[in-house]
Amino acid sequence: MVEVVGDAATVAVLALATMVPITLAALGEIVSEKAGIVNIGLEGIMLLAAWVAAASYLEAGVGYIGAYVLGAIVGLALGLIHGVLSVYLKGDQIVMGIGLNIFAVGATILGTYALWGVFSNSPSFDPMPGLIVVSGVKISPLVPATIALGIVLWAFLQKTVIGLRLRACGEDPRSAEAMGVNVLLYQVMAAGFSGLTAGLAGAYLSIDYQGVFAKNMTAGRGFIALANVAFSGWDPLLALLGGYLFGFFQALAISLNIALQEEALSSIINTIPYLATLAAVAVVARRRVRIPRWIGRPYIKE
Amino acid sequence: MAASRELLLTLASILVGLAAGALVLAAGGADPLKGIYVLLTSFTYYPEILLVGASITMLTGLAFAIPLRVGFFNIGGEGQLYAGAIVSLMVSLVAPYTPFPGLLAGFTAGAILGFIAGFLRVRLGVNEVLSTIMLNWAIYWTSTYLVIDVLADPIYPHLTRQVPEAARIPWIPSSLLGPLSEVLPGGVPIIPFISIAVALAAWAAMYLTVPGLRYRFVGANEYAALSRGVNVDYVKLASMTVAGGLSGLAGALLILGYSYRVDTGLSGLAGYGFEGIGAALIGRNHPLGIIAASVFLGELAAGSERIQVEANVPAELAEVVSGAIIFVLAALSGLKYVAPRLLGVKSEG
Repeated sequence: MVEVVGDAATVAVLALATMVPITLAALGEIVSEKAGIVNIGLEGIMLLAAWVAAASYLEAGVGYIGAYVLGAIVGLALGLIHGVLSVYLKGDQIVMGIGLNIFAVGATILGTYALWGVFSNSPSFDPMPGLIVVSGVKISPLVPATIALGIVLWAFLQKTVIGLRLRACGEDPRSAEAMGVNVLLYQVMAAGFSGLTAGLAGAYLSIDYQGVFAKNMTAGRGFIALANVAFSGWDPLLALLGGYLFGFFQALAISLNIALQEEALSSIINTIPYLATLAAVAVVARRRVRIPRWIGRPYIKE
Repeated sequence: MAASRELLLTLASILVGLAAGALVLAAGGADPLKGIYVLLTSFTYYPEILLVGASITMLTGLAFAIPLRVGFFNIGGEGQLYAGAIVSLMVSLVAPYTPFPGLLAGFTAGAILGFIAGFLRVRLGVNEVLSTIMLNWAIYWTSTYLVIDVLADPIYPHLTRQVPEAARIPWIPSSLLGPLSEVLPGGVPIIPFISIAVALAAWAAMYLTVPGLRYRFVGANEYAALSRGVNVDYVKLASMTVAGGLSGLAGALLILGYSYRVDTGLSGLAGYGFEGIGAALIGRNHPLGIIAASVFLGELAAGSERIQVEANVPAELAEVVSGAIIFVLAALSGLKYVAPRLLGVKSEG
């Protein structure tokens, strides 16, 4: 146990690496939900983008940056599709997300088998090199980028006219329309942005964090990102904090498993991030936050 | 919306879903039309997969449909099913006399999980999509622990011990099947009949009883129900608890009536919870529709198994198709707002 406590610094640094996907996806989703569009298909988008990034890196030789770009493009495309179907066809936002998640699990397994002949994972490769290494933990450029994005999005939503218009779409689309805001366009763009960040988060998992694509490797991170959105009360700055907190639980489970080397106990330790996330959301749930009022509902013009 | 138009939309979604499957098959180098044909017509090759898959999916389908009507998304069918399966296995090892204690324990285990998610939502406002997914993963890892550490078979450590003979749900032997015994040399499992009975009971409870009336009242208009003195929170909590119980029962039926054991990766249990969502949506959240939709999804499972064996495409093809169907169904669900005249309904906007 002494070594475990002594490794507290490592856990704290490792949490910076584990926070990236859940924070990035949460930041995009905050923007989307502020505009009124919910996408619970983040998990599926992350998984598909993780596969595309790994596949393009391994098979197409596009390099790390190219793989990131392709993962982001896949995410953006899926986000835009979700947005267009939600906004123009008034599709059921929650159920579309469920469908996408189920589709993504199957499609990535089929893709893995088609490319590499196995059901479970791609060949492993060297993950993208980091900026620096602290306490034996690689710090990816996406760590500072994620933190910067949180700050920029806070300023964008709170301090800019476009941010105000976007929030109006999720609060009261009729009034926004009367103000001259193109509500439907704003919503599609916001949904696309959410897909883009989820795509980056997925690509991070495969080419930057782990150096492999593995079946179901998102392991609920898309939903932890959604937990983070609720935890933050739709505030990008608090989402940075929440992302670090939830990332910390994951880092703790990883470090405990490495320190204890106890195969049986490892399964129990693996429950920590999920139960802690649920507990954290339950604790803050009573706080009355301003939920965007028009969230998840189709806006039908008169 | 008129029932015939709903059916039309469902069929259209199924066609698009199958088209997505065909695309995937074509991308993988297989003949897409032949693949779809095989996907839809393989029940004679794998009748057990169809029968068992349909009976399990029927229950997890009800587990999604019942809370949905009162506004809750129970995405926890997966974890509730794992819990029901593992707990019923444990009970059958402790009390190896009849299947009943295991069935009851499986139902209870799932019901507790459903209750937790319902309670967190009703009392604390924790979104049930979040809580059920987090519980799914917590249960997945807890089950893995139990499978590896507590229930492992001394001879085959990657499997658990088996449900003792006396605690199994019997099969109808093929000798009693007459002409069908050729197709079903192994006999017929009883669990499909149990599942159909449960689904019919759910239908009767919804439409013929007073609590069922309250439940439908809350589903139709919870504010009106509240003003008429219905305890809305109680109805919602009860619907989540029953739903969890049905998924747990599904897990128990799977273990006690078909697979008798679990592997360390839980691969024999995985996927049924999510497939239930498809059954509920394709079956339009109606118990009778869910029965039909489960048979369709059971056929997809049998077909994708055959495609895996013959054309070397992973059986997850079934997930691609059902995921696509769900997605398209959801995408088209807003047509009543966008094109009311096309559907022959008055605008609800």
